[in-house]
Amino acid sequence: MGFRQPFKSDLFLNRQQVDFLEIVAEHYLQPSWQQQQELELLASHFPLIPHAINLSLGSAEGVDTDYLRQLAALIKQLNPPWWSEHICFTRAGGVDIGHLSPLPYTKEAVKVLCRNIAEVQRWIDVPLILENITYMVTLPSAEMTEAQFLAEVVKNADCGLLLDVTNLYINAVNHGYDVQQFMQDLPWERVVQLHFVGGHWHDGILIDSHSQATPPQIWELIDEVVARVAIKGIVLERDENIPEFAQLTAELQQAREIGRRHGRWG
Amino acid sequence: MGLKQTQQLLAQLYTNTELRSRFFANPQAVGLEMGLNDDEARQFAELSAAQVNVFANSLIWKRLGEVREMLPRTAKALGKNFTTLFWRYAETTIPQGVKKHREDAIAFADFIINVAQTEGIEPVWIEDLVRYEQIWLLTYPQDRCYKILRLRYAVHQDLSKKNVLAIWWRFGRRSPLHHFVL
Repeated sequence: MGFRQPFKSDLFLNRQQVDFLEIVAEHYLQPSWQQQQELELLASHFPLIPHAINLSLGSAEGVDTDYLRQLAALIKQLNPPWWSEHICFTRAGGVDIGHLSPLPYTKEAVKVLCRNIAEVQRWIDVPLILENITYMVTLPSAEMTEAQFLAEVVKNADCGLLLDVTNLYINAVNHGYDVQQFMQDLPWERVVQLHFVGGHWHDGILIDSHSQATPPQIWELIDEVVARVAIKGIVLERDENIPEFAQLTAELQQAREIGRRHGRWG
Repeated sequence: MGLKQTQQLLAQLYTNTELRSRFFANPQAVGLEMGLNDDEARQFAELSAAQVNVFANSLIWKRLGEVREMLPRTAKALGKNFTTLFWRYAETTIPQGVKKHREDAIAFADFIINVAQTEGIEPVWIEDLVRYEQIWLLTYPQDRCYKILRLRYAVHQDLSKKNVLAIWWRFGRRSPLHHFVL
């Protein structure tokens, strides 16, 4: 489960129902003593997977070394089996965009990502897995499809893939592409972890708001993915409109059932 | 044009409303003005104004959501005006860094205080309330702090007109943040 402050108490009251936590790495960079205490408390009860959101791996200007140094220290402290970041850029020309922004699907962008990832791997030897994002803006000059782009990046950078099934579904809906075609081009052998949650509709656009229960279409996709590949983890990423904790653990249980049905875990 | 220039232009389009309006009114001309050649400007002109505007607005809504959580009483007191004021503020400021949402909330509090002083906004005690919430944001992450705030309204009670002193202190990294209002 993606750890969020509002359900901290419920999490500890129901900790046997959560196998591991994904933490947003940025929340624990430059930590106060209280945040450091919280991190240690979480780490003493759950395996923790750091999930970074602002390393800007796709920035042609390169990654921010100060940020990378702090992230490396956090990951070293936690010593997780893997950590994750997004295939995107969040900074350019001194502007922090404030969100995950899509890269053009070009060979140059693949090269930039691989160069930055190689730099990151010099600092962090824990395996990195890369997540597909949702995007609202279609950039011109694409030389390949999104799925081909993801495959090129993880293959050339020798990374695992964090397949966000919700992002895949949302992009397919908003940009009118065929999920099955997309999945045919994915490098399945590299999928390590999944993300899932539900979004909401606004003005005819499906928004990746992490604010709703997972809809049936996304459960079907999870089922299809888990049937294909022996993933190591699956994470519910609920950020907004957080319901009773029992509803969250029910979703985790549903994900476990899918895994069991396909003989993926005990 | 390389990826570096593309990203710089995109970052500007996503975060600068004035540039975005000019660009989509005349993409070729503004593209050339920003250093693109003819082919590049033609390619950039294929960007969808609707898509870019939706994304740009989503960035501000995201910031607003974070700031609202950090200034909850101010947000409740201002109601819809909180959103209106934030939109005005967000046009002029883009937060940076690991603690950017906190920095954003602190800077927005300054903006509200300034507007309250220059334009006058309701309720009359809003300036005190936002100042009070701002000090929490400023003091909470500090290892050591000592802060006294003089207020004209009882922000800790019923917001009636009354001189009060709010005090915060923390003696060391491991000690709790103390606070009381006189």
